[in-house]
Amino acid sequence: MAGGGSKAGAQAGSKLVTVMNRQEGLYTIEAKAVILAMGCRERSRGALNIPGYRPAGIYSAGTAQRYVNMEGRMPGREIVILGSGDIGLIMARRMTLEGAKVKLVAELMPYSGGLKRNIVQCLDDFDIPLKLSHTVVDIKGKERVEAVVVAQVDESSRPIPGTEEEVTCDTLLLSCGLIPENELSGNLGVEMNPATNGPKVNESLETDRQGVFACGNVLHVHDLVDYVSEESAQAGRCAAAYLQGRLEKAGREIPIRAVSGVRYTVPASLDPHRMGETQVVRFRVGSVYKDAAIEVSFNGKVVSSRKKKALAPGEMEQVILKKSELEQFEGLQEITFSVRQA
Amino acid sequence: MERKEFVCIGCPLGCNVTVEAEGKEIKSITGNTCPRGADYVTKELTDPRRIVTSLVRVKGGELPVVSVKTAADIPKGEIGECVKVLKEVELEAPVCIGDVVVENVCGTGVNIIATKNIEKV
Repeated sequence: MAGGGSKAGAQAGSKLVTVMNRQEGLYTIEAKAVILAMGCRERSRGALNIPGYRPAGIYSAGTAQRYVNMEGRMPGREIVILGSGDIGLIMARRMTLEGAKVKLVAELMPYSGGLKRNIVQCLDDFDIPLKLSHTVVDIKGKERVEAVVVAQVDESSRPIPGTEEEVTCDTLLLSCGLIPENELSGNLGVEMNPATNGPKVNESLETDRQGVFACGNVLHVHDLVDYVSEESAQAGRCAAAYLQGRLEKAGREIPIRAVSGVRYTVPASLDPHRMGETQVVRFRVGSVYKDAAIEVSFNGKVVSSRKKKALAPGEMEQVILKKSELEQFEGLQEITFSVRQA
Repeated sequence: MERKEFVCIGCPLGCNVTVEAEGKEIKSITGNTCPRGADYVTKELTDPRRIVTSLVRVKGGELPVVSVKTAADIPKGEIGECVKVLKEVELEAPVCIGDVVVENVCGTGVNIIATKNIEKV
């Protein structure tokens, strides 16, 4: 397992993992199987290009979460949150319940990246305004944050002059997306999926390197930890099966293509003989849809269409494929996932 | 007649549901796409409840705070009082998952329980 407090790097072919920890120092392990489980990191202020000084009081939402929930410290009293991902929304509620005043949540996109129930139960319950199509264009204060300037943005996410509004606050929390931590995967040279910034995996969560598996947020960023746990258990089972020679060499891999509205799928391919009786395929859509349908096609022929009242990028979707259906379809070359707008 | 707007949390659609009511008596529900929307607003109007998560100070533990939650949902109006009560509580380490931190918080009949283990140091 590459993760936790250790640093690991696996060389191609031999799976030589370089590890470091406090007890043993730097050493190497020759591994037969490796599970990539490095998780993800938060997008930082530096990656957002917000001008202004570098005063105290700017935190990523996850850092603030750690201060409050584990160390019992409050990052500030008057808060503005940039980004309406789930961590940002949950921190809006947390900070309010712990006695701070959350003045507003600004979201660059015209829709929230968080789950609907979090918007209702974390913002609406406490009358915290959510400003969609808004961003922070300036941070005021030299020693400590004194105010931020919030402005509306146009369709290309550019601030609209004249819409600037100064909001006094002592703290700015950034909840602007999570980035899978894939420096090791890159060094290892596993094939990556540009849509997830994670490795491409097959139904056994195996990358294009045999015996190298990936799971959790390093693979794709999840909404719910329950799915991360499920995926981790599956990666563990598959790695164990590989070591015991029970994971037959991948035979014919059927690619799963994500088209028209579906941004990606995990897994990105599957072997009908190696898969279990059923296979969960998780995916995200690229924008907000109403009254649409998720279509699954075999060789371009629609085999299932599921109506969806609403789809949003912030809500991960899943479809369960049945082994029997795949096997019954003769000459299966390709599976496609798409959104059809009614 | 009183009109109230809700955003249903039943699914990502998030219907804007309008309820007309006299006191607690619901006259009409509009804007929902499915029965779940009606159930949700009925509960929100007559007895809105929430599970509350918060923190409690711990003495002599590996961390200075432990995460806690209400064992079941409590009336939404009691959230503020419930959190205030928790500010006054201080536990002695060790704390175990499931330990009752406060019994019958704010007379709701619901206990506050710990959701993390804190070892003694």
